[in-house]
Amino acid sequence: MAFRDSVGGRAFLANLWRENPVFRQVLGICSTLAVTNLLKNTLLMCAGLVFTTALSSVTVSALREHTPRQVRMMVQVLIIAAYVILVGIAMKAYFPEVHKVIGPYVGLIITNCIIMGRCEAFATKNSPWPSCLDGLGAGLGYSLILIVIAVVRETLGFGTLFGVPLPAADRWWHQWTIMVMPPGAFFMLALVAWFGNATVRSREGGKT
Amino acid sequence: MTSRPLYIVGFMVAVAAVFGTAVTGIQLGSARVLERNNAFLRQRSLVTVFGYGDPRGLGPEGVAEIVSGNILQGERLADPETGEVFDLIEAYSGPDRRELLAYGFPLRGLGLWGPVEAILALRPDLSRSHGLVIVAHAETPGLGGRIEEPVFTAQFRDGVVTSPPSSGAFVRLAAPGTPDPDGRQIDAITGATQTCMAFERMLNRGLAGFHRAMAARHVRQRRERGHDGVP
Repeated sequence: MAFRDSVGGRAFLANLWRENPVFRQVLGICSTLAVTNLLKNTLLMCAGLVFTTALSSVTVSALREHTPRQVRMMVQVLIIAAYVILVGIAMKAYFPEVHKVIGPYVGLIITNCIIMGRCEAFATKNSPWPSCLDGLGAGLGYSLILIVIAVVRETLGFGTLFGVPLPAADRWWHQWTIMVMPPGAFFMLALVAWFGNATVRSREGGKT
Repeated sequence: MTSRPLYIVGFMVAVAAVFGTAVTGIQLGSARVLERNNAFLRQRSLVTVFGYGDPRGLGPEGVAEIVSGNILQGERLADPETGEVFDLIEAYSGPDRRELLAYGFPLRGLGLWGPVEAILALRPDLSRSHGLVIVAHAETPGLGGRIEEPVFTAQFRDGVVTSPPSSGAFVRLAAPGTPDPDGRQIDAITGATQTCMAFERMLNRGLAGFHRAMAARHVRQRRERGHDGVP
């Protein structure tokens, strides 16, 4: 069976774009707005989220036959929290400088609706491997949007990319302060959501 | 799957025990690395704030060598008015720590979102700032978080007058480019006004307390040397 026809493959691909968690499901917006003014911070946040989403989905799926329905969400939060703490410890140990900056947001991954949403909507009904692919797809779909927003915000707001100044920036670049500030994130998110939704709709319209 | 209450409670306890144990184990396992990182970051902050060079090129050993060879820590001073305790840091230059380069003290307070911890260094006569480094904060990345960047901290490098003022505050916040007749002005960061204002309050409170604590130390030292009451 081709990857795109398998349950997990379909979920993975859908989460990347057609059912993208950020612009289609409007989930994970808080961190999308908060960490996207520097690309390095964004990438580390995304790595943490991809790791947590994939492993939480696998674990919830593996336990799905044994988890009592009444307490399933408590179990999911506990599992997610455990993985997020792991991400926090790894970041503190290997990227202490970055942890100083985005540490508060790493803790907030626990409350990211994408993770709980995928656990509840997919992992509780499917086996671990497709759940892993579903979680990976959701995490990477979220990351894709954040990276696009971060590239634009850092370039226009700071005149840098990954902290490296743009070529001859002092000659042509002028700071867009608003891009560093929260309103810049709202503008960018709206533009990306508009583009994404328009693309998905036009493709769906084309098929029918 | 069963919905009997005993099973539900047992399941929750088991899951909590497994994940709790795993997380605790990993935390304990990495404690040494985290402690080493914290110690290195703090020592690097000291090298930066006292201007011993750019610590980015030095490894942990190089940084530790500079700190142990030039910096004295451990003395605790109390502000006689508020009782607030300051951990005094003394930085020296030259062989055998002959010349006092600057005093420093940790500065703690609340930023916009959470605690901010910094180390402020002052000249030996406490008349001007020698340097500033932000050790920890929880401010917005890219906005208030920029207080740790040179765009904010560089102005404290031999820059701001920190002697007790005849009236008003020790330092005051102003928009970049504002005329500064008495040298007590700090440039705010665009988009981070609330964080800068919180930091200004922290600085003024810390400087007032530190000056009082140092004055009390001076009196105590004179008394110990037998100077008290000697004409």
